[in-house]
Amino acid sequence: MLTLADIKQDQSIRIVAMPELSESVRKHLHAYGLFTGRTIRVLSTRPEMTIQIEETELALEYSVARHILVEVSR
Amino acid sequence: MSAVAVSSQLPVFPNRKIALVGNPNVGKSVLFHRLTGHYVVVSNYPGTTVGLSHGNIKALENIPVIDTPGIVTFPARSEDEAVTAQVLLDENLQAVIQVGDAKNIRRTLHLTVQLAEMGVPLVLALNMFDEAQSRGLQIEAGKLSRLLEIPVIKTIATRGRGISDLLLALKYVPASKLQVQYPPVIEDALAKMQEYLPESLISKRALSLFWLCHDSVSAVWLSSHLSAEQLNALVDLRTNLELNLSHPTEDIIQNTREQFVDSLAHQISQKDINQGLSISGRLGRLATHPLWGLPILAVVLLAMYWFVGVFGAGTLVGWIEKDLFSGIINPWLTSQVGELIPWPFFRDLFFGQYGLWTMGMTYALALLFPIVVTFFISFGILEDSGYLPRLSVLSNRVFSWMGLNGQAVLPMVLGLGCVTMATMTTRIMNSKRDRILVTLLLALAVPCSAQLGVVMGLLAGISFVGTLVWLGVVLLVMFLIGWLAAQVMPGERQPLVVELPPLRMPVVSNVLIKTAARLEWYVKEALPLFIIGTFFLFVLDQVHILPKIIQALEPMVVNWLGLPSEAATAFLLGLMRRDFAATGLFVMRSDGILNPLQMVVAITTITLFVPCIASMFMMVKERGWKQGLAMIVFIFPFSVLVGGLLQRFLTYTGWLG
Ligand SMILES: Nc1nc2c(ncn2[C@@H]2O[C@H](COP(=O)(O)OP(=O)(O)O)[C@@H](O)[C@H]2O)c(=O)[nH]1
Ligand SMILES: [Mg+2]
Repeated sequence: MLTLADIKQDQSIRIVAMPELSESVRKHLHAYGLFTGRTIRVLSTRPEMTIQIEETELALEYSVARHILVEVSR
Repeated sequence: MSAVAVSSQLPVFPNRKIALVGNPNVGKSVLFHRLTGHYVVVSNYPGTTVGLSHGNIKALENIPVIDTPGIVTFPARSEDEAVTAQVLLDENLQAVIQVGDAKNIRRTLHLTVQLAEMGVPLVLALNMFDEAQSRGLQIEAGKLSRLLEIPVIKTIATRGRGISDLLLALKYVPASKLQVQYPPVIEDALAKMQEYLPESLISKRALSLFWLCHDSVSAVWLSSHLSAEQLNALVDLRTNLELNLSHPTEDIIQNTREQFVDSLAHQISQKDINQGLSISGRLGRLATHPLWGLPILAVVLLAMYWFVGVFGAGTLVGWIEKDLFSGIINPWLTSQVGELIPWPFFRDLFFGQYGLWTMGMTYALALLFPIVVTFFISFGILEDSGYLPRLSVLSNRVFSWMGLNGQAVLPMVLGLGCVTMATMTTRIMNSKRDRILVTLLLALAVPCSAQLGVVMGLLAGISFVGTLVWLGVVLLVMFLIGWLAAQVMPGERQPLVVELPPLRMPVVSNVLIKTAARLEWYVKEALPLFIIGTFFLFVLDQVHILPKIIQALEPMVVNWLGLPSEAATAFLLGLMRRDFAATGLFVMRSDGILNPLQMVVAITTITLFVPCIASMFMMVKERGWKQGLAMIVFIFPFSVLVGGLLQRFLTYTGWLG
């Protein structure tokens, strides 16, 4: 299964699920609008993952990105 | 920019307030200052806005306004979010102004929906409209207002746009009536709960939703307004519901809201595609770039060094301490006022070698104050520019070795200004484990600006290699102890998730307000600690114990650290006043009894010591007696141990020959 950590720069993807993330981290991500079904864009992959949700840029480290299942949006 | 015609005007109710609520960093505080027109008491923890600011709107018969800490979503997850939730529960509000970030319309609407469900009189201020526009985002405020049945006003708080429309809308705000339809099982539970709930300032529906989401703030409120049976009934209701659902109730509720918000957003907003990246956007990317991020960091640090280290600690301290205090004020006070005190004991207490005025106040006001002021100004600029979160991304790897995440960089950088204040700022960290780790590292390995000034001054006199050795040892100790402490500390490391706000030009007034608030803190909290510390030293001196302590220290200083015995005095006094240690070492250096090797050993040991007596008090205050003392008891012998090892190592290798 594809995770956020596998996505390259400038690709847009859709969030499929966030299993295995701890409750607190999941809540934190929800707060920024990172829900299942949302389409987001990967802005950069180094040194950590930076994604864009609407006009918010969010940086998250790989240990989190690896637990976010995604699909490439058409 | 008004989106709603104000139909009727009711008189402002007496005893009612207006509250500003919204996500963090959307411009609540700027709007607050715009509305109140004057800068009122900002009760700030250093670093974040915790607690409430109060003011009045002149244009609206002086109605009181409250600025609340940012909240991302209900239920509240941190102490400061809880403050905001409490305001909504406790205050009889004339209106709630939700300040929202226009460019993040979904996130804004998520909170709008939750506030509207509470049935409070709600106005939505879509702030940062300039940024939404420059990103090609079109928002139909009028349509949104009709859909939600609340006034929606476009604002640009920094430029004062839309304020008059907002004031107009505030004259009459009806209670919001919005209801989101949840799945039938949840609606059932909500309906059943109605009969148990007492009247409150927010709608029963919202109170029920809070309850189903396990909100703790409203739970406390409920438990004081309901009987035990009623509470039990509520608990049963919730448990039954949870048994029937395959997902956590809160997730289902959030997802329903999300769908509602999504369809709203589709109806009222539109994004022009093919927008190029702005200059600020590009710079923002570069700041976290693995390669370009480092030179940018170097420039930032250099600018800060120049402003705080050279201008603050050099020029300003020169004027204030040497010219003003040592030259004019202190001699005058000592001769004019000191002479009036007939008892030598009291004369000494205030104006003697360890006098509360001549030592304590002079140090806090003349030496530290200018350094702290310049540091707070530059920290405020960094904070408002949006650079700090990028720094935490850049440094995340490094901190992860120490069991922390990049967010720890904030108190660490603040520590370069004042460790005492930074120790207090550890309160903003999420877990207790992080707070303990950062407090220890701050005390051990982060030199404050006063300490840095001294160290730089001394190191400038010796070789560049000496500076590198000092820096290397301090960093090594930080990583080693950080790593070790992270291994033995129970609890898990928190991963980094941090918002990167757009890089912005800091607003002068905002920076000055923050600086003023921090200085107020400094005068109220840190200054008394210096006075107490001085008094402590004065007592030791009066009972003639000081020379004995110095004598007791001498063998260690001479035999283990390989320094001349005079260094013991410098070490002890350095605990109280950094510059005393420096002066002592300077004199020894010019007397030719301290070679470069000994100098580096002495400086390294002093750097690893707890920065000052005030920071020791703060450690105990924040972490409690046991932890605070344990850290102090660890740090002193440990820094001496490192100093001695360094002395042997340098002698052996002959690097500083
Ligand atoms: N471009 C722009 N920046 C704004 C606007 N309102 C506030 N800001 C900036 O946003 C940042 C956060 O503002 P602040 O009032 O501290 O946010 P708070 O956390 O909600 O109180 C500051 O740097 C402000 O200068 C606006 O309308 N437009
Ligand atoms: Mg604020």
